[in-house]
Formats: sequence, structure tokens, C-alpha cells
Amino acid sequence: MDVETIVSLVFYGLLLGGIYALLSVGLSLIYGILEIVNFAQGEFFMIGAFICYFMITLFNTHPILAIMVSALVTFMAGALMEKLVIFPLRKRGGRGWLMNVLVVTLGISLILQNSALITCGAYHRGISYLWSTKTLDLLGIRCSVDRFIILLIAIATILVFYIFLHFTYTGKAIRATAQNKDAAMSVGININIMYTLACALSTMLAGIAGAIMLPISTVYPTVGSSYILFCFIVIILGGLGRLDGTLLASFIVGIIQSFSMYYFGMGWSYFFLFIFIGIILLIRPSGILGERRY
Amino acid sequence: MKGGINEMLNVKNQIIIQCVCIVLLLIMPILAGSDYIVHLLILCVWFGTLGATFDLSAGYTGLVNFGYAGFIGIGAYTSSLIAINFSISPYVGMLIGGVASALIGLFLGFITLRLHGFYFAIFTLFMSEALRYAFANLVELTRGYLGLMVPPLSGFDPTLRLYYYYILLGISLIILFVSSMIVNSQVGLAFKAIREDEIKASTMGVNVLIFKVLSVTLSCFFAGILGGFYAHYIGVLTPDVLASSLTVEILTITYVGGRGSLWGPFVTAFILIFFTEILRPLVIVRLIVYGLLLIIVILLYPKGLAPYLQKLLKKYIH
Repeated sequence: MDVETIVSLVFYGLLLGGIYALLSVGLSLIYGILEIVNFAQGEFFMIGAFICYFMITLFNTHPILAIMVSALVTFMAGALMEKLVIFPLRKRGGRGWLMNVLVVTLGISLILQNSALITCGAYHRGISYLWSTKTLDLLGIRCSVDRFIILLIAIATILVFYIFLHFTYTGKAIRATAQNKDAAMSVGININIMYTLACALSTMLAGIAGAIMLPISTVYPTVGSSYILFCFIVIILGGLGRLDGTLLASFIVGIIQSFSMYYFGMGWSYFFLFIFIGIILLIRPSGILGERRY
Repeated sequence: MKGGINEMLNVKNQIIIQCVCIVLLLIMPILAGSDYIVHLLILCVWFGTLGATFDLSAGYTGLVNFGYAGFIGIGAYTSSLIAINFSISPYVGMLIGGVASALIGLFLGFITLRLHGFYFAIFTLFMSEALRYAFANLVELTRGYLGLMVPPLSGFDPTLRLYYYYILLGISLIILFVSSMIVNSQVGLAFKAIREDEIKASTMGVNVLIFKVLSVTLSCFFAGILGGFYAHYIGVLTPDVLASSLTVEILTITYVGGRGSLWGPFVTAFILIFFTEILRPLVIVRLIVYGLLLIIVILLYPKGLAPYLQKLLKKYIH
């Protein structure tokens, strides 16, 4: 085990962590605000990746434009999903509505995944690079510029999202709704719009993740399900509905995964994470940093 | 199979309906004639029973087990590995498979059920995925995706599907009988109390954690037994038994059939399996249909088919 291997494994872990962070920040946001979990998050990742792929291969657009279009479409799709499916359930409310939402989003995920299988076929599609083919020499390890840019975009997107949540009126309104919806209503926040917005933003983050991930992993209709499980683990580990915990946890999970993948193979990384999370849950049921609402 | 009929029909009619159902189940494969129809009937009974046992945790305590296929797979692999390596009778093996799957359910339940319901949903899902990869990678033991050859059930000509049908029917009726005994007893009341309101239930002296774990463990135990049967019936076992599409199928049957009725999912399996058999070559379309069914049922008919079937029955009896 030489230093170079370790450093590059850590780098790959960080990269995975960045993608998990993009996917799970959205999940954790809608958990924080709506107390629901979206099983279809992985499918929005898939949609984002497909749109970016087709934009680049068919229309030869600039990657930034492709990513923007992916973000826009997944934003609309998320808003549509909230209005059509989750809103009626929320209005009905009652016992077990969380489980109902879980099952409904599972249904959405089935429909999206299999529609993609019909329309796009079960092929792996990918592009070799999004930005450039050069490699970078960083402290003795080599990594492609592409991967470096991906990590940068992931971090930048999360930063922008953080600033949006903390320093704009709309962002503050979303956080207020998460903390106490009755109080938020009494100061004149339209919480229905905040719910829809939170849902749309969370799926948009997933769409961006899918689009920027394109040069590393190929896109195929079930690509979402290979990422989404880890994201659930991330939000449990980070403490449900907590942004900083989620970020920390996504990098931890990414690094654990990259090491166990290198030393034991892909399949076992599930198993090790499962055991790791089991132990964490036994010791600290509310995640590494504890539970808190935005 | 009593469950929901209880409130609407008197005891005499109830017993008549149950007898008619059992007789129907007994003579159906003889009337069917072809081997293929018998195979379909086996699938119907198998899925129907699984739908009912899934209901034990999803419908009665409100805990949806998203890794149900995992528990079926544990039962299937335990039972067949025991039969292959220690040459123990498959019938005992099925029971041991059930116990193995119940133990894992018990363990998962104790870790996650004191927390938010979401932890349970995710953990069961994650467990089944982790085990699927583990079984696929332990090639020396399970032969992974090459497929494990499982010996058929002993004691009769293994090529006759009819025998398998009657053995499965026996197992299923016992499971359904035990389940209905449980849900109609005080334990079942506790389950329903937890589903309606956990805090109120605990103030009335119900130990919420114990009863939640109990419902999950029972449901996993039955899944393990039925998984064992599946392995011996199909004869070749691959890690795909643990794939989440099986969970989705069972989940759809339970939700369409109506949660909290036991007999609802059982009856629905016959309708759904025969109906979607037309789509079997088009697995993709079938899964889309399942997804649509799930959304429609939850949004528009949260009680499922059970109340409608009940009305139909009542109309014909009076």
C-alpha cells in the first residue's frame, strides 16, 4: 500500500463524495422541510445525465449549456411531481403518510426507470470527456482535469445552494418552513410554494449531479439505483435533515466506498458500508452530528 | 383469512365462504389440465401468501419492508445450502430458512425500529442489496450467478407440479391460518393500535418496540419459509431472488389488495398474476403497470380492492 495509491483513492473517494453530496443534500432538504423521502431521486439523476448526453452528442452544445438544460428540466419535473403526487397525499395527511409517500415515489421511480428502458434501451452510453482530455499532476498523483473540474463544480453548486438557503429571502423562507410551518405561515410565507420549491430544488441538484458525472460513469436507465442507496445511507449517517452532517457523511461514505472497492471489489463495498452504518446506528442513532432542522 | 370480513358477515357465512374458497383452491389445479396453468396457480398461491404475510407488517403495524425479497432470499439460500451440504430433509430446511430470515428481521428490527419509520424502510432495502452482492460474490459457496442447483422436494415424483401445488397450498393455509389467529388476537389489536397512534398505544400500556419487532419478525419468518419452497420448486437459485423487483411485485399485490385485511392481498394475487401474465415477456411494461397501479391505489383508493370485494360478496350472499 504505497502513498500514491492511497492519495488517489482518497481523491476518488472525494469525487464520489461530491456526487453523493449533490444527491443527498436535496434528499436531506426535502426530509427537513416535508419529512418525506424521495425514492425517485436516483431517477432524476438518470434524467439529468440523459439530457446532458443527448444535448452534447446530438446538438454539440457547450457542456455548461447542457448542464443548465438538465438542471432546468429536472427542476420542472420535480415541481410537477410535488404538485401531482405528493401535494394530494399531504393534503389528505393522516397516519402513515410518510410510508405512503415512500411507496408512491417508488412507483414513480419504477415508471421513470422502465420508460427510459423502453425509449433509450438498456445500453450504457457515455462520452469520453466533458471539458478536456488533459491530466493534471497534483502532489505526485495524476488525475484528469475532467475529474478535478467535476469535483469543483459539485463543491461550487453546494456552496451556491448554501448561500441561497442562508442569505436570500426565498432560502430563508424555506428554512423557516422547515423549522416551524405554522410560524412560517403566520408571517406570510406561502408554505405550499415553499414545499414545491424545495422538492424542485432537490431534484434539480440530482439532475446536475447526473449531468456532471457523465464523463466518469456511463448513463443507463438504472444508473440511479446504484447511487441512490448510498445517498440514503449518507443522510442517515449525517443526521436526518442536517446540511453540514450530510456533507461530512457523503465524503466519509465516498472514501469508505473507494477503499473497499479497491481492496475487496465492487460487491463487497455494500456489505462493509452496511456493517459500518449498523455499528454507527447502534452507538449514535441520530447520526454522527445529531439531528437538527436546517 | 377472516380479517376484514369479520365486521360485515356473520360467523356462519364466514365459515361457508372459507370452506368454498378452500374447496376451490383444492380442485382448481385438477380442472386446469395443463402443466402451465398449474405453474401459474402455484405462483398465484405463492405471491398471494407472501402478499398476506407482507401485510402483517405493512398493513397491521404500518412498517413497509422494502427489502422483503432479501428475506425471501435468505430463506431460499439457507434452505438449499442446508439441503445440499448436510442432506437434511428440505421440509426441515424450509423451517430453518424461516428461522434464519426471522433472526435477521429481529436484528434489523431492534436496530432500526426505535427510530423513525424511515430507518426501517432504508435498512431493509440496503440489507437486501448488500446480501444480493454478497451471495453473488461468494462463488465457492453459492455459485453466484452461475446458479445453485437445488434438490427437489423429496417423497414423490418431482416432475409432477400438482404435488408441489398441494404442498404449497398446505404451507400457505397453515401460514394464513396462523396469521389470521394472530391478527384477531390481542397481539393483532396491539399491532393496529400502534398503526393508528404510537404514542396513544404506549400510554395504554402497549410496548411499542416489542410489538413492532414481533410483527416484522413474524412476517420475515413466513417469507423465509416460502423462499425455501421457491428454491426447491424452481430448482435453480440465483442472487436475483433478492432483487428489488420481487419486493415491488409483492408490495403492489398487498397495496392493491388492501392493507390490513390479509385475505385481500391473497385474492388480488390471483387477479394480478393472471392478468399480468400476458405481459410476462415484456417485463418492462409490467413494471410500469405496477408503478402506475401503486400510484393510483395510494392516491385514489387507499383501502385497495378489499372493501369492493366485500361489497360484492355481501350482495351475492343476501
